[in-house]
Parts: sequence; C-alpha cells; structure tokens
Amino acid sequence: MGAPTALRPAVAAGKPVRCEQGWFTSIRSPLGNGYRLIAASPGLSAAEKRELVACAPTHDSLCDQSANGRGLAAFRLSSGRWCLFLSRHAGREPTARGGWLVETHVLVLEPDAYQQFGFNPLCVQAARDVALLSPADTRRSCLPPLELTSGLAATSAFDCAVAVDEPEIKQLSAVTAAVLEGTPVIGTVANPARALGGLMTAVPTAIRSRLSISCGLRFTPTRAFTLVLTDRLSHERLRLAEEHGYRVIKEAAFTLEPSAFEPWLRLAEDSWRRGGAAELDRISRQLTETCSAQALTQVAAMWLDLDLAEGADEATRRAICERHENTQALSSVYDNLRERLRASRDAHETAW
Amino acid sequence: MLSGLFARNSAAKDACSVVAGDQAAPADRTRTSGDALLQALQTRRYGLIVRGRQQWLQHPHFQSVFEEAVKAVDELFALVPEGMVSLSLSTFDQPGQPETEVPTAAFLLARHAVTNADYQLFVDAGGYQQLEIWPRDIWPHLINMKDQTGQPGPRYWRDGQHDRRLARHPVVGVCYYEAAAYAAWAGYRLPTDAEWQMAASWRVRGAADAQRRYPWGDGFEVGRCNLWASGHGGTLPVEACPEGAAPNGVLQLVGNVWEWTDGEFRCTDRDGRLVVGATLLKTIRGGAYDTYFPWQATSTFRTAADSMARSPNIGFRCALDLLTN
Amino acid sequence: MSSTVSPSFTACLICGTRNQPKATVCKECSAPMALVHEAEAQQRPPRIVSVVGDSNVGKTVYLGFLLDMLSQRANQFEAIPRGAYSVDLPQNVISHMAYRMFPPKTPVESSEWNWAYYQVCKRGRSPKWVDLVMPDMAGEAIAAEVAAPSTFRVIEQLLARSSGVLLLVDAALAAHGSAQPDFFGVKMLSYLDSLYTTDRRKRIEVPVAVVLTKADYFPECFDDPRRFAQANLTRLCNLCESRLAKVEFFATSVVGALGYATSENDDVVTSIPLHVSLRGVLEPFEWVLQQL
Repeated sequence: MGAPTALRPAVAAGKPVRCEQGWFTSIRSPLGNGYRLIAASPGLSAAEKRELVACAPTHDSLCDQSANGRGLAAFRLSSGRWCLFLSRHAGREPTARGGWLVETHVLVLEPDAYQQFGFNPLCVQAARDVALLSPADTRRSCLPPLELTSGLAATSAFDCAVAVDEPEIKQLSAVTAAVLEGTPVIGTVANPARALGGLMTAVPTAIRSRLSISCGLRFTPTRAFTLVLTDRLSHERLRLAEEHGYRVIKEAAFTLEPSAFEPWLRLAEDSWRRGGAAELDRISRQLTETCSAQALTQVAAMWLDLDLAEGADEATRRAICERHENTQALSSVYDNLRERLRASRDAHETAW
Repeated sequence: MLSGLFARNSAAKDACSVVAGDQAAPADRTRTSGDALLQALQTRRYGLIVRGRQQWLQHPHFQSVFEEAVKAVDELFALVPEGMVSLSLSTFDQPGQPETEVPTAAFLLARHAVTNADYQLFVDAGGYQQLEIWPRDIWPHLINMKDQTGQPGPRYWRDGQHDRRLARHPVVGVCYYEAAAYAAWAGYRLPTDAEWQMAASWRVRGAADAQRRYPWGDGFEVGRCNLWASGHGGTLPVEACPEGAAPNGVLQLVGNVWEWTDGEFRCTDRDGRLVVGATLLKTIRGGAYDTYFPWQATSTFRTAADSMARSPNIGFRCALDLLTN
Repeated sequence: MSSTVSPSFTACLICGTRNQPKATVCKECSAPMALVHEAEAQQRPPRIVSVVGDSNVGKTVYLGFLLDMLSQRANQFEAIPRGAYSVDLPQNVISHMAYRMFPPKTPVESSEWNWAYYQVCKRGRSPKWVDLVMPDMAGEAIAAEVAAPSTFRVIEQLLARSSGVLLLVDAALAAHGSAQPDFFGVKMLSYLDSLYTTDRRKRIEVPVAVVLTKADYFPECFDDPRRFAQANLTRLCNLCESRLAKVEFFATSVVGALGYATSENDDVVTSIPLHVSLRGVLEPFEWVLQQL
C-alpha cells in the first residue's frame, strides 16, 4: 500500500446543507454607524445574535494586515448550534479613521450539518465560497438561509494541508498534541490557514466535534477558543494567554514535550511530509467515537503495519496479522484496518 | 513630550481680562464729521489716505492730514524685510514632506491685530453696506454676517457694538471676507501666507539662512504668548505679551487669536491626497488662546478654516505695501 | 465595596469575579486587575465615571484630552494617574492629534479598551481628592449592549456601578438633521433607567451630563447647549426632563477645523483634524464631579 499519499478522493455526491447566515461589519447608515449585525436570516435567535455579536471580529482583528487578509472562527453557541465566522478585509473602514474594514460572514449550523463537513471550518468555507457569488445580499437586512453542498468542499480543503518544512511540521505536531490532550493552545504560525488545514487532518472527529477554533484572528480573551492560530503575540497578549491557561507554541521557539499521542503524531508528521494528508484526514474523520491515546496509538500501529505488510514476505505478513488477530479493538477504525490487513493477506495467499 | 515644555500657567492673571459674569458695556458709536478725507482720518483709514493721496492733492488740509497719516502708519506698522520662506504643502508635519520656497518682498505689517475698537469704526461707517469692498459672490452671504442681535457686525457683538471692556482686544467672530473687507476699507490688505510666515520666522536672505521657530526665538515659553498653556482662557489686549514680539516689534504673531491670511490652503495629506474643506479653506496662522499644542503655533505651522467661519478665536491683522515717494 | 474575597482570590472591581491574585485582567470582563490593587492601596473606593455614546461620536478623543488637561492642571485641577496604563489613552490621543490624525477606532473587545484610574482634586479652600475610574469603551459595544442587554456584561456592570455619566451626542449630525443621535440618546437613557431605577415613580439620581460633541460645526451650540438640544434632540430632552433628577447640557469641541481627503481609488473620505482648539472639555466633567 505504501505510505499515505496525496490521493484525491472521489468526489462524493454533495448533500445539501442548510444553515442560517448573517453579515457583521461596519457601515454608515441612518440607523447607526460602526460594527454590527447588518443582515441576518430569520432563523437566528435573539440569544444567538447577542452571543455572536459579543465576539465577532471587528476593527484590526485580522492578523493579515494586507487588503486580502482573512480569518475564521468556529465555536459552539449556547443554543447548541455551531457558529462560524468567515472574515476578510473589504476595503477601507468607512468612518475614515484608518485601517481596513472587516466583513464577517456568519454561518450558524446544526451539529449534524456541521458534521457533514467533518467539523472542519475550512470545508465549510470552501462550500460557502462556491455558494456565495457576491456579498450583494448585504444590502438586504433580512436574508434567506444559505444552502451549502458538503461533498464539493472536501477536496479543496486538503489543498491547504501542505506543510512546507520540518520546523513547521514539528510545530504543527506540538499544537496537535495539545489539541488531542484537550489543552487550550495558541500557535503562532506564519500561515494560520495552512496550519489549520494540516492540523485538522490529524484531529479525530470525536475531538473536532467539540473544538472551538480561531484562525487568522488576533487573540483576545473574548474569543478564548480552544485552538487559536495566530501570527504573533505581543508581550501583553502572551501574558493574557498564559493567565487564561493557554499553552503557547511559538514559531521556532518551542520545546517538544513528551505526549501520550506520540505514535499518532509521528504518523501525522509522516503524512504531512509525504503529502498524504488526504488519507490521514479520511482516517481521522472515521474516528468518531473515541480519541484516547491508546486508541490512536493502536490505529497508528495498525497503519504502519499495513504499510509494512504490503511489501513483506509471506512469513512476515502472517506474523503481522497474528500480532493483531487477538488485539481488542479500541475503535471501529482499527477493526476496519484489521479487515484490510486480513484481506491483503488472503489476497496474497490466493495469488500464490 | 509635553511635561517640562510647558506647565499650564494656572495662576495667570490679567487685569484687563473680562471676568465672566460681569455686566457687558457697549462701546460708544463713532461719530465723524467733515468731508471724506477728514472722515478717513477720523476713522483711522490711514492706508486709504497714503495710498490714495492723488485724489486729495487739492484738498486744503491735505498736507497736514497726509503727514498725520504717514506718522500713524509709521507707528502702527513695522517693516518686514524681504526674505524667503518654505511653505509646507502637507498636513503631515514631518521632515521630508513637500514644501515650496516662496520669496517675499519687503512690506509693512501691523504691529497689532485689528481690535474691536478699530473694527467698530468700520461697522459705524457702514462697512457692511459698501458693496464695492466685498466680492460680488459674497453679497448674498452678507445677510448672515450679523451679531447676536441681528445687526451687521462680528458674531459676538450686540446691537452693532462691541463690549467696551474688550476695546483693545482683537476682534473675533469675523470670517475671512469680513477681514478682507475691513482691510480694503482701511486702505490696507491682508498679508499673504508667505508674508505672515516671513514676519514670524524672520528668515532674512543671507548666508546664515536662519529662521525662528517663534517670533522671539526657537524655544517655546509660555509667558511670551497667549496659548492654552498660558491659562488665560480667552483673548488678551493686543499689547499684551510684549516679550513675544518679533524683532521688528510686531506683537502676538503667535497666540491670542489665529490670523486670517490672504492665502488659499492647498495641502496634501500624508498619502498625497488633496485636502479640502466643506467650503473654501483659507489659511490661518499663529495659534490662539485655546491652541493646545505649542507646535501648532509656530511660525511655519499652516492650518486653515472655512472662509465663512466666524470663530471666537480667529482675528486678523493688516498689511501694507511699502510706500514710494 | 469588598475587593478581596479571600487570600487566594481577588475580586474584580467591575464585575466582582474571583481571579487569581496575580491575574493582570479579569477573566470574565477583561478589566485590569490593577484597578483593584490601586483601590486597595488608596484605601478608598474609586468612583466610576462612564463616558458613553454612539460609535464615532468622539469618546476617545474627548476622554483623552480631558485626562491630559487634568494632568496639566487646567482650571485649578490636579490629577495623578495611578498606574502607567492610565496614561495610555491620553498618550494615544495626543500623539495622533498632534500629527493631525484621529486615533484609531476603539476595538470592540473589552480586553483592548483603555482604562484610566486617576486621583483628581480641585484646588481651593478645602480640596477633596476623588479617585476616578474612566474606561474608554467602544461605541459599537455600547450600542450592542443597549440594543440587547447583557451582550457586553462588562458595560452593564460598569454602568450599574457608575457614579456619574457623560453622555456624548454628535451635535454635528444632529445639526445636519439626522435623528440618529436623538434616538441613540433616548435608547441610552432608557437603558440607564432600567439599570438605576426600580421604582418608576422616582427619577434617576445619577448625574448625567449630556455633552454635545463636534460643536465647532455648529457654533450656536456653544451659546446655549440646552436650547440646541431642545431644538435638535427633542426626544432626548424630553426624556431627560422626565427621568433625570440631575442633568445638564454642554457643548464641546476639540477640532478647530476639519479637512477632508479622498482618493480616486475608493470612496472613503478621511477626516483630518487641521488643528486642535479645545472648547468645553472640562466643564461637563467639572459639573459631574460637583454632583458626586
């Protein structure tokens, strides 16, 4: 089988997913100036609006200070639904006090709708980019719900998951470890979106389903999400982060700590190195019921053995199979991989 | 940045300052008699006399009137020598910003800003009704140039009269056009932007090419002028702050009131974009009693106000071309 | 006001949340914990004076100059900043305005706000020192809180604890004929009404200074601010009369003249403060202080 390679998965027939939407930005209007929710679909409740307004990105919130700056966030509202912020710079701030205007497309999805996208905000963003042709809708204060297509999004998200060099891989691994351990973490990275794309491929669905994310937005305690990927932290923000219990993993200035998820992390690093993130993501998405260190270690070991068995002789292959034959499966993924191993063994024996 | 340079003079006293709550006292109206030449003398239109002397050569009292006018000009005006000034063309006051060099010829500049008493003469002589001294396109706006009681006059006057306690204070509440009209009526003119800067910076042509940050020198001193830091909170008589005089004795170029100049404000911002106002912007110079930053009252600082603005902190002074024999 | 719950925790001055003793900001409302430490050091509870208003009304500029003027002993005042963080706001405002730029927008995130803790005294026969906490809040956050209470709980708690309020209203907009300042003022007062009064028969005792900002645009505002408000902010005036026991109207301006710069590439017009001329900045504050 070889190491996980950059296979392009077959595009599944997209399932339509319905979500509520809104636009949060700064405008001048007869009703008022400044940042507020200027348009929303009727399905957004008053409580949800209140909650998202309190933490939506505003002036100077994006890390990328260029005209093309982008950022995103995903978190769970008190109502149980998921809220996504897809933010970008959209011209100059209209109140003429300098800086860029931050325009945020707010999407609110039911948990099972978000699951269609593998709990990956990048997938949702990709689907939104296809569905939304222009922000002309912002002129209307009442919007219709948005229909997204889940299958289409899968491929484009993997394009982001390309780690470039070894230090970046190691940093990504350290951040992933913190996520797997459930520790709030801030990673200061050169390219937050790319880092998120790579990291998500190594995070099982069981963790993704409760992971709040901020990517490309400046850290602030009002958006104290579990995973924060930002470009830099000032001394003040660093102190704030530490006071709020964050582990801060700075680019080129961190130490790798021992982790119970070591085998899984090594597998992830190898996948990123070899461009096999797509296959890794597929495995991660299947891990819906458990994400314990033992379960992931078991899966990682099986994966490596699958790779080993592919090019091995019959005796080695049989030994590998026997090693796993009586192991208690800690996840269905392990079971499936074990079936693949058996099938591979049987196929070779038949051929002989 | 701020501490040490100027601590606000909280204990500033001025015997002439109007105390809030005191009863206002309207000034007396001007009464003139005689023919036009004699009236011009009575109303202190010395510029009109000396510049327009040809028309009065045959007047029986011309010689004595003329000599008196010349003597008055000599007392009221000071010579500003020729020089060269660098006018900033940017609102971003940092080194390296665009400037233009403008030579200035020698001219006469009033030692004081125009006072309320001076301006009263203009109002009493019907200056607001003499359309020939106003630009034609301003005629429809004359109806707005009223005082608190609806009479023609500066904004803060009442019944066409100033408060006599402020007789020697600079007149304020006049727009650029009122300042220009007064100057024209009196036979003077407003200084140009470059001329004003020349008078304040004293950048005389020479090998040294030195210029002054303030009329008295380069260091700011709160006692030499009437800015916010001086603590007066209002205008002072035009003779106040003699230590702040320019080398030729001109007083209060900096502080007390901003001064209208005959210059259109054309500047760009730090990004090179043209700066415009709601209406035509005219340059004002020198800072006023409410100017918070001393560096906005230097000899080179250029700012502007809408030409129709009748602010409580903008006045003016007059200029006169050198007289030829 | 109890500032310490137990040796292990320190209660936030604004919201009362228990924080670690070494915390720099409150984990709940992001108010600086230095406020608590200063209050403990002074051994007297500070008074909170809130400057509120819609977005772009001029709160940051007004408060920045006010604090700077107090520090320079304007009008017989003496003001001592407690903590270097208290100087951040005036420094930010002064350094921008001195170079003919307005300071940037105040971020909506409360952790980014500037807080000022000053000891203020008016010199005279019997000077009395008052400790004041004055945060510079984002107008959008205030508007959001007024529109939907409890959106920004820190604002709710700040205002609930305020001893005085300066309500800034855009006189230039009102003079232009916009009803927006009037409506915002009414909403703000209604919000304060719900915070301060439980008995609808009684009026609000917290002094409210209605400050008409950018009054240089309409100089008549200075002649009689109350009359200007009655003519241009009728709804607000009526509500003030009905619900406030202590209210006064003031006009203020900071900018002597405004220029505008545009480019062909975008429609954004940049306002440029051509020079600073302060009028009416201290008077509203002085009045509120007298009411305390």
